[in-house]
Amino acid sequence: MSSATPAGQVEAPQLGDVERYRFLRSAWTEFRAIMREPRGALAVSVLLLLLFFAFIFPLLDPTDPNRPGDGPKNGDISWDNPMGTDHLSRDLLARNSIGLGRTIKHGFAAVLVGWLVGIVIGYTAGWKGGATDTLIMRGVDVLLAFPGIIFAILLITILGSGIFSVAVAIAFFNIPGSARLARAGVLRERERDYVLAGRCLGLSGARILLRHVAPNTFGAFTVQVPLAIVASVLIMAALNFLGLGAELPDPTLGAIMQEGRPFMRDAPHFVIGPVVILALMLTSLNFLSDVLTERLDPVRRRRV
Amino acid sequence: MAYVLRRLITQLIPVLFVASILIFVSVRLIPGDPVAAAIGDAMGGVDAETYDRLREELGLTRPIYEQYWIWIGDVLTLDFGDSLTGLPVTEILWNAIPASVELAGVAIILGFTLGLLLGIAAAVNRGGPLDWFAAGWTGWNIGVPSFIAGLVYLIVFAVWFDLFPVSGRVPLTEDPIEALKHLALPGLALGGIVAANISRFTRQSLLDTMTEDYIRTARAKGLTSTAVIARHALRPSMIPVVTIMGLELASILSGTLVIETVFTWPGLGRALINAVNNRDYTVIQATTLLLVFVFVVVNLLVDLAYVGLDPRIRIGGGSESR
Repeated sequence: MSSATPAGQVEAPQLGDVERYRFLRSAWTEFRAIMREPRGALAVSVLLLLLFFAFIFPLLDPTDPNRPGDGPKNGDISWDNPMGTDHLSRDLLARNSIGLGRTIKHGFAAVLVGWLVGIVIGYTAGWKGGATDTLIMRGVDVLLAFPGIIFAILLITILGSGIFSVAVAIAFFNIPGSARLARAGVLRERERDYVLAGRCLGLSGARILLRHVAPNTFGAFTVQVPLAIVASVLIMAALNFLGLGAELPDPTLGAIMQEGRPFMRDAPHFVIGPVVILALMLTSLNFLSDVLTERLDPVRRRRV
Repeated sequence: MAYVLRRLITQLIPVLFVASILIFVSVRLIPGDPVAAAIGDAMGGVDAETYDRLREELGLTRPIYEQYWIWIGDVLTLDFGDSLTGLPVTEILWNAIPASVELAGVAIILGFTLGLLLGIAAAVNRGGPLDWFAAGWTGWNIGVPSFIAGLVYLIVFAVWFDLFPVSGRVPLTEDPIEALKHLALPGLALGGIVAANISRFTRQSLLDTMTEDYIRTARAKGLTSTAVIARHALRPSMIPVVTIMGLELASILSGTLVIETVFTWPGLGRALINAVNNRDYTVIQATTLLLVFVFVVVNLLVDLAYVGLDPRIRIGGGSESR
């Protein structure tokens, strides 16, 4: 069986190509379906607008977000400073734009790393089973027993404050959930016939797991990842607001809120800017995840 | 009773043990010299003899497991050592705990009553204005995290309408009216999210229960719809709600950490954040340990309440995964 026929060797990559193509096409179909739902279209448009504001806008706007301007301190909304100025008369539009960009970059990178680590851990636990599984999942349980934000604060205490420490904390925060989800998926798929068929064909365990089992566990992730991003952006903003991610003078949304908090009475625009941006982002991500959930779960779609 | 014991042995104690090790080790892992941290940077260099004596006094010459043993012994006798400010850590904790308990209490009361009432009203009044109000409230609170909501309430109710103070706390015992005014906005920010989640689950659960056969029977025997809901539908539909309440308790606990900073509320969260900013490690250890302890105990109590509502769990043995 191990001496595969030429035909078998040719066939496998072809099948893979077809699968990849089908995945792309189904992703496009999925996207169009999301855009047909009013909430989905709204969420996607707002998110695109925010991405534009975070990453394209700084290229068009020459204002240095960290240089004090000539305008007044805590200046109100004006033509020169459409979002006002802060306590050092820096332009808040530029600061919010850069701050949103840093929040998105670090937040998404942290979620990505956390999920990759979590998925690897979950796959290992689910695929190996036995003592490995028990050991790993006990560790995950302990992580879950900690309130996330306390664990994050402990980690930041060890690493020293800074945006990188905050990102590491967020990555850790994402591990237990993703590990559980990945493990559950592998446990469900492990006993299926196609796994047995793969073994009979002489495929290695890693190949069966990565090429055949893994894609079947992705469905559950599509709903959970937007939610994880929401939770992570939220915790990230909170940690930055607490001053734990401070790397002055570079802004994050949370840091701008922290800077603006003492001037709430005299210059509410200072805090309102980042609050509105964060609220828009989190609400759109929530909408997106709602639409995805409903698409995957026809029972719920009917009930709502 | 056996169930309680089993949970204590298999979950509470191991988790607390691992947590205490993590907290102990994490402070040891911090780069920098604990002796230097203990005497403060201001004193500059000390001679080798004093340095060694201080190391000896701080117990740093002993092996790490012995240090842990001594530390955990102190912790169990509620001796957390002194903070960098010179105050005993226990005193800092005792000053902060009432403020946090007060805030969490208001948030729980507000969140649970508002959530239950709103959820029941939305289910009974399905599709009506109350249902829409509940949906709007839920949407706002689920989309916007509690500390952002807190900032928004501050801007709207404290700055624009000037109805409530912007920050600070007045103890309930000194001036109840003023205390409640200070509590209103942080309580709403924390409790609002709880109310939103609870109302959503109450509504869904109640609507599910209302489709059961025994509800139709109760209706058929001529009971008014109030009696059907109050006597027959409410209790069984509370089981999922209690689980959510437990999760919400935990979220209130972590929520207070941030909300206290938003409203400059002098509770445990403020104490912890101040300690982190001042690198005051004894206070960090004590506060995190206390918070984890409360968190784990609350989770246990919630599971016990769950057993009380649904005897099947007790008979079937411990639930492996929640």
